[in-house]
Amino acid sequence: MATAAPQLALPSGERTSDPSATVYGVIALGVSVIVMMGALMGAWLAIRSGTRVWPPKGAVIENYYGTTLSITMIMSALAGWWALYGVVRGSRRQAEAGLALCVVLEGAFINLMTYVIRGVKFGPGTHAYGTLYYAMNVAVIAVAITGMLVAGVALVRSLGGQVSPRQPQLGWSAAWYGTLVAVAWFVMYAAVYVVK
Amino acid sequence: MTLTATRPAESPGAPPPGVSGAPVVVPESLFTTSDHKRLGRHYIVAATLFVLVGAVIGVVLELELSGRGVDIVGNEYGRLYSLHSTVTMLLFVSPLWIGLGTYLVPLQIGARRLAFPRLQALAFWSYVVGGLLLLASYTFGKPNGQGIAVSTALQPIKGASRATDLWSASLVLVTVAAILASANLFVTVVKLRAVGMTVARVPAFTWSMFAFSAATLLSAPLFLAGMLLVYLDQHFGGGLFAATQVNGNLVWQHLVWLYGRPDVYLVVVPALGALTDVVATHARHPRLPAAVVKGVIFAAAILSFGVLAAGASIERAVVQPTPSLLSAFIVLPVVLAVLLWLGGARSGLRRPHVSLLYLAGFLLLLVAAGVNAVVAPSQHLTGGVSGSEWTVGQVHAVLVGAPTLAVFAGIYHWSPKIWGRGLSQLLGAIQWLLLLGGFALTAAGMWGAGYAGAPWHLDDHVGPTASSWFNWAKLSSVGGVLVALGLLVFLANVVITWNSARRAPAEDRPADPYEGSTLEWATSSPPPEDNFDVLPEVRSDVPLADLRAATGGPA
Repeated sequence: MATAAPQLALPSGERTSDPSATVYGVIALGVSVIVMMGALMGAWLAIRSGTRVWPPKGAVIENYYGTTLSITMIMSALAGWWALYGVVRGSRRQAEAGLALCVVLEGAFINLMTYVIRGVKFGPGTHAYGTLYYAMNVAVIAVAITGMLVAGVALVRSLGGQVSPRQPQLGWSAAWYGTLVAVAWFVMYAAVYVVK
Repeated sequence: MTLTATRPAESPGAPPPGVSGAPVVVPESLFTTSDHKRLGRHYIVAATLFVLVGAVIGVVLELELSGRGVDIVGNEYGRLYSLHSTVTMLLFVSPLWIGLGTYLVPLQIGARRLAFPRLQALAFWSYVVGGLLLLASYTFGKPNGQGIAVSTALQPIKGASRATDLWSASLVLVTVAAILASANLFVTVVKLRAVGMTVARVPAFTWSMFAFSAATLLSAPLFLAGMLLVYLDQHFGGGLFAATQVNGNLVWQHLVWLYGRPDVYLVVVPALGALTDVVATHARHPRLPAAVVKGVIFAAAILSFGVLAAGASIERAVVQPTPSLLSAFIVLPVVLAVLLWLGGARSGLRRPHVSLLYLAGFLLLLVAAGVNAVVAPSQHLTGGVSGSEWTVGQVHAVLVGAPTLAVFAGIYHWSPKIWGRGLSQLLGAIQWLLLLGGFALTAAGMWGAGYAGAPWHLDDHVGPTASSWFNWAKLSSVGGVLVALGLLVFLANVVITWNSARRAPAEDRPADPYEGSTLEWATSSPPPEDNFDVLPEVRSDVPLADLRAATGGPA
């Protein structure tokens, strides 16, 4: 039968919510992104091995773009970690500069990606190579946009004083997600520019 | 004895409503709630409504095969077959587990909420909108081909209909919803466990949802990549999945084909956890070796990935026999779990409970499917075991019927917590009869047709022996009707119980009707908005039994 008040012999085991859950959430979703890119890479390799002429005639993508995109992505990921360095050291200016740089570089990355897509002389329906190439581009651009959003939110929160050494979770999230965006790009880079 | 008192009307020390400092409570509607308990209930009801549509389509499909010249759906058989499979697997079994997990995981680990409440709301509504769009795509026009339920790739058509675009977009949405919900449950278990709730002390169901979520995070993105390729291939006609493209079908089988996905086997994983908790609560001496149980559950989650290899077996079985063996290994943890349950229940049961009927039904369907798996190779099935109507029977028994009975075992077991009052045991028993009988007849009809020589995926039974298949198809139709009736009984049971529970006084809504051992029974039924008024300390995997021992109650 119910009593009027709890009769507990043991002390409460309650734990307040752990804000580092945000970091774990970002990493969990990032891992899913990497798996998705890995699946596209697997499809690329499988189709490549079954196609006599690969890449197809006319499907030329200059290495220059791949290298530039890679450098941009590395800089963006490093900017994310620099921002985190600023956050945990309590240097707000460094944190905000790093996050702003991260947003700008990811924006530049997306801009160059769309430029490269506009320049190629095939579409997603031209051949299987085109379908796979565009699928990877769509996936990487979508991931980069979410990376920009994460870094952007962290920047706005930092400007509002809500990211600090005592509340570094958004800094960690931006750094980790920025790195995972870079990994997603390098999976595509390996397929399109290295393995070809 | 009830250990947890009913919640006082006001928290001690809190100012009364209207006084400065009182918490401002914004009423949450159906559409804006981020409370995991309401979302969990929404998931359960939405998944049941979706599968009702799937069950009705299944009945129509079997009626189509029940006589010579019967033509109910015209040329739409293949598409409806795919819709039936997709709705059942992607909109019902997995989301139902996610719904039960959404409700129970925070309660079982002593958390006040999910790690990301609003993310779960986003996941739920993405799932609902995705599911509705999937159904709408079939009324919008004609989606191309037979969808994702068949092992041969969807042939690209340049400029495919908007219905096909909508169909693939809806599946992307449903998959994204599954990923978001799984990430949330995963992080909740990792980060929001109460003090003392070590990983080793996490209840079996929560552990199984943890394994399910981790495996979904690793497997659902494969399907997402596949659906992205399908969308581009169908919309622009690149020929990636064309019959002439070498390895196109291989990519299809690994990334897109419904039965080639780990998710298909993953639905068994939470079943192991839920049924373990059911046995542990209702057995007289319920101690099950927790480490072994958790090992078994985790092994099932890992082995579910074997089905990815099996996807290739259709094309490469001759040179690579191991893939099919890998997918068969999942039987081992299931058998081990059953042995553990039997061991836990050998000293008898504390009380009869309808959830135990569902457990028995789960086992009966698995045993029937197991016997068939032994018999089938000697029967010279048309198209072999992977191309016969017999296979469809196995899918209905093992991948749909058994997990469905397991999830309803869990729902009936935890119904006092979910709805404040236990669902009617009588209606539960009637539902059990309808579901078990329905799935058994559905599968038996398909097994029978398979043994009589029927290949799978036929839109009409034609051929010299076709007349012997008609009666089997009628049997499956009757089974489908019984399943649909069982689901309607469940919905009626929920409505009746929910209405009566809301009017019932607190004394009629005991917090712990079973003398349970895990934390969800330490709070009122249904729990308050922040789950726990007072949370007991966790010193073992049975914190409530410890509490009873400390307060002089029964162990």
